[in-house]
Amino acid sequence: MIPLQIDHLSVRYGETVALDDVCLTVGAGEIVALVGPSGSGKSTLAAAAMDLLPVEAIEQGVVRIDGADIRTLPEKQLEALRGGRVGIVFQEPATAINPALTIGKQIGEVLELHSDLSRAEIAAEVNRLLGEVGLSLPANRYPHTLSGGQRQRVAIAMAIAARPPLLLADEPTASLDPVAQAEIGGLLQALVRGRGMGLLLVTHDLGLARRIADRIVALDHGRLSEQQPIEPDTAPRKPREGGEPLLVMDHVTRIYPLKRGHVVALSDLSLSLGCGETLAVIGASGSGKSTLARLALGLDRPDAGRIALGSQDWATAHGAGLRAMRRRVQAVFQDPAASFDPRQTVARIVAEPLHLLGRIARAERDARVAEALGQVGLAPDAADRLPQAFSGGQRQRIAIARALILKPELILFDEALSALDPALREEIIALLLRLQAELGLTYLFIAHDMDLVRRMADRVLVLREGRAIACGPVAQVFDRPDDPYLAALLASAE
Amino acid sequence: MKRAGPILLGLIVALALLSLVWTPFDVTTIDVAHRLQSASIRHWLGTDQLGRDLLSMLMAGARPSLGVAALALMVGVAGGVPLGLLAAARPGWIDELVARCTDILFAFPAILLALLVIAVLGPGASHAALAIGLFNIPVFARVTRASARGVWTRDFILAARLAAKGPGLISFEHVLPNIAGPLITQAGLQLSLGVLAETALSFLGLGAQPPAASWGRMVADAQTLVGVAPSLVLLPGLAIVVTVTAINLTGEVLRTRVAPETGL
Repeated sequence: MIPLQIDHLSVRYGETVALDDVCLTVGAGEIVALVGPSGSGKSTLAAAAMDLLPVEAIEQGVVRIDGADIRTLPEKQLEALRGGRVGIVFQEPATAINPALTIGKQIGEVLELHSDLSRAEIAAEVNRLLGEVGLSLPANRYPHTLSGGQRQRVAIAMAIAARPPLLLADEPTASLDPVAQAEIGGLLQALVRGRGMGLLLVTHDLGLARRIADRIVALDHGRLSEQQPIEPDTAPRKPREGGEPLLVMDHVTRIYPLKRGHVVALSDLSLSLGCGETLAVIGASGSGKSTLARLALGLDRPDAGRIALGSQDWATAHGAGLRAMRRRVQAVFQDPAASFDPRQTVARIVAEPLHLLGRIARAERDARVAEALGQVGLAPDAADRLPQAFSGGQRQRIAIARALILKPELILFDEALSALDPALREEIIALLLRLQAELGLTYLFIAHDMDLVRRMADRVLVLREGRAIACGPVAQVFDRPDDPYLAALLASAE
Repeated sequence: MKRAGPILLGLIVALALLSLVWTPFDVTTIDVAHRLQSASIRHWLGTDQLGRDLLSMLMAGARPSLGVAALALMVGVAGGVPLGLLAAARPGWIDELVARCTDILFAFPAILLALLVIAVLGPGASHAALAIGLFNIPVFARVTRASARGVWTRDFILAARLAAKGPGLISFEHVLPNIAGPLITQAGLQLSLGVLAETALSFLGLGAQPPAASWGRMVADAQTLVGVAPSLVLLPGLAIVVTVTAINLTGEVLRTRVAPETGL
């Protein structure tokens, strides 16, 4: 039996064509990666495979799961199909798992619904499944005591519990840190091979697709193509020498007090970033990257050590001096949806840093906003709209315009490209490189993505548990990792 | 259907305002000869035990109910919202202090403390508004603090801090507009609770004082006559129910208009 067979499937919503004559087969033991930009129809295809399309969708074609045409099945059997014959793994394990139930109870629930095992048999099977997904945890643990990677393993155990012939994974690694991403990728691959399941992997992470998939199919405007998607330009950039030091951190330590004890977020960290240079800071979640960002931006104070912009120190600056320092550094944040006040127009958002200049005339403000929008390739009429009216890529352009409006020297990017799909990311990378060349900007990248680091950064700093474990030119650090953790981090990206 | 609430509330407010300048009969004039009449062309809803026109009484009675509730709401918003914003902007001992003070105020039964306030200040509509308003303060402080804390964790607050905006300006420019939804919902709720609280105080004789008409006292005065003239109790009761319903519906419409994204 073929786990998934889609024949000439077309789906329309009114006049909009979501899928156009799509044929796709996922064989037993095969991993097919489905890639494509946002809005290309990936989610529609996944929903169609489970007959979960909204009622207004107009559907043509045949979807067979394990040989059965799902549209001829009565609702009762469809329910058995979802979770029974199709296992599903979602992007965000935190929302897929019920926080009020132990992990064993949740995995057991799937077995209760889709098998006729006795209680004792279910308990034994739950423990076996936990082992199979690589969790050596007791079944009575609650989800909130687990890490993101561990939770995703629980979600996978739930998905495979009923021994489905087909597994559907929707961005299963997108919310995880690089090491956990690599582990989950490897786990999915091992499970598919071991159990002879078919896996349809919906993702926009080409790296993951290349690593574990047998075939990659690309969706674009509802049309499917078997050929390899466009290779991003991965040529590493030539490292350049930075000019005068712009950002200097000197033996910086930051400790956060907790109710009981404390946590050392950064420990004795030193770095120097020259004018016109790009430094990338990488590390798993919790390694101190965000603390470093807040300190560099002067939003937080170190417990020990010194942080300076040029000759000015964040700790001693106040009044007009502090405002002058703030003008030199701006930031672009990770989530384009959260980094704008949803009640303000683009003009007000982009103009926000102008507050540092004191009162300025409306005409000058508007001219500056138009100039900044122009620099990032947005039309001036974008100014009057709300940020919600823009796509993810355009929103990130708005965020960059806000960072540019004061003509700062240093811009910090906090995971600023990780929410974008590959095509948009290429556009934004090109934009950032052009702006750097034109305006002589210095970039500090907080990043997850090794590929991005190779292409954008001159030097890289690797953080682990608040300490720098490697620092130097990208090629030198990446090609000869002398630390096992760094080697694992890099292997996860290969 | 969606318009019903605002239209109804508008009508009630209009009648209350009209009663300031004109009512079919003077509500302060007693006409014992025509007491307890049933509905007629002359008296549309009949007369009460002292011969006063019931329609005129209902119109004039809307004034203290709506006025006291609105005044109490203003006291609550003016006191509670800044406190909540302050607590959210300054985590630490200020936040703790505000949270504990609201907890303490919540620990007292509202009506008892209102009675205490009135016992000290003396009865009257404005004192009733103050007593009810005092209870709106912790309610608004709590709702504001909880919603504002959520807004403070968003990235756009970091962007504002990078522009060297202080906590006050950020609270006013970014936080307040983004918590308008829950605040409007709460305002609608507190306004209708205010109407109920005012009628309760009037019923006990602690609200608007005679000869001013009020729905609560109309019910109280007529309670011994329920068997003889039930409309004397039912009509002011109905007025209270309709007003509270109209306020709740209006609050809902206003919220979806002002803050559609924070759907309940």
